[in-house]
Amino acid sequence: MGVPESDVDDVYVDVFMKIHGNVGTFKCGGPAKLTTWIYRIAQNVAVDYHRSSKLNKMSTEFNEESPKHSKARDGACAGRNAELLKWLDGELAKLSERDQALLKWRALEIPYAQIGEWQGMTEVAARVRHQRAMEKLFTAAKSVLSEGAVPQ
Amino acid sequence: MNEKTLNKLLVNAIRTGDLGLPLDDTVVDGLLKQSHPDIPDILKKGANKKFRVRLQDAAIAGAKQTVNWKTMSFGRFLEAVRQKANLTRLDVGVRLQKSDEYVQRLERGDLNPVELPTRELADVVELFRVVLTAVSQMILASVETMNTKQTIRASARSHGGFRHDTRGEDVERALDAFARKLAEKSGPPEGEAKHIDMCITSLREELKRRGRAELLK
Repeated sequence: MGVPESDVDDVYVDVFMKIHGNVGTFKCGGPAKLTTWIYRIAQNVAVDYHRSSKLNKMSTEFNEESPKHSKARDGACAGRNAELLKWLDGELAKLSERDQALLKWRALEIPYAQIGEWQGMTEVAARVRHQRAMEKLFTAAKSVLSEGAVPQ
Repeated sequence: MNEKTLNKLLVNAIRTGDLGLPLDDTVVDGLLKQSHPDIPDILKKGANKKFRVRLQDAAIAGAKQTVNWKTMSFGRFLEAVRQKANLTRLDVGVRLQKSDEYVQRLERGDLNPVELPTRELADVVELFRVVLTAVSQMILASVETMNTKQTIRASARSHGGFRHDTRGEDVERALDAFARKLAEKSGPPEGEAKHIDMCITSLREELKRRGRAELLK
């Protein structure tokens, strides 16, 4: 989840406090297993951590490279390259849900074999599909670049 | 833009929650099966300690809502909150870096809060998160109770002149209640108000120094 080791204990405590406070709302035999429920809590706490983190390296990188990008001060994308994210969101929406998930899992360095298992395809098929989805994004980025709008 | 940059952008958007991640049972099971780096024992211990402290703080905060401090002395308030929070004297002692006997003496009113070193009093106030106005009122009640109890304590010692722990607790509580009633009738003790004011002033300074502005109300 990308939490640095120096802050792991604080995030761990936040996760367990959330679990402790909300365990009564978990429905045994409900839509998700306990492990999934806990994982989602951990994921949400990690998101909160990254949002509040002052060191949002990625946005700094992109702002330096492309000063044209707007820095929205409010809304869900506040301070995190709203325009770039909007572009990415739009391009991902053009892909199938399967390809979107594939791109996200690969970005998180999940092995092709594992993604293939989740999506009911072979490792090779997952690799090829990922490559094609990436190419679609590159093409979109290039066309936008030639128009002088968003990413570099 | 290359694959590495695009992946970094995706990771960043996922981490900040700008892009959702599909998490169902199959995916989570798969993620949990993957090998993860071992967490050092020292980190685990530190995290567990922090978790215990946060749980205790949450329990104290919850218990405080149910205790009517306006009718209590400082020590009895601490005892009531501690009991409602399901904490032992040892738990509180560990947090204050004191023994459980110290906590017992504090709760029973054997230790006069006015005479406590400011740092120690501030530690207690910080742990139980009591605002200054409430501390001041409860300390006044403590002092009134203690002064009244001085005169009636001797008659309450009936166990060979020694305090017996099992029985002593009940006797002390009854004595406190009796003393509170007497003190209410006789009014605040003369000269004590100045001591209490001085104690509260130094406590205010200490809390300010610790950056606990929320307790200065």
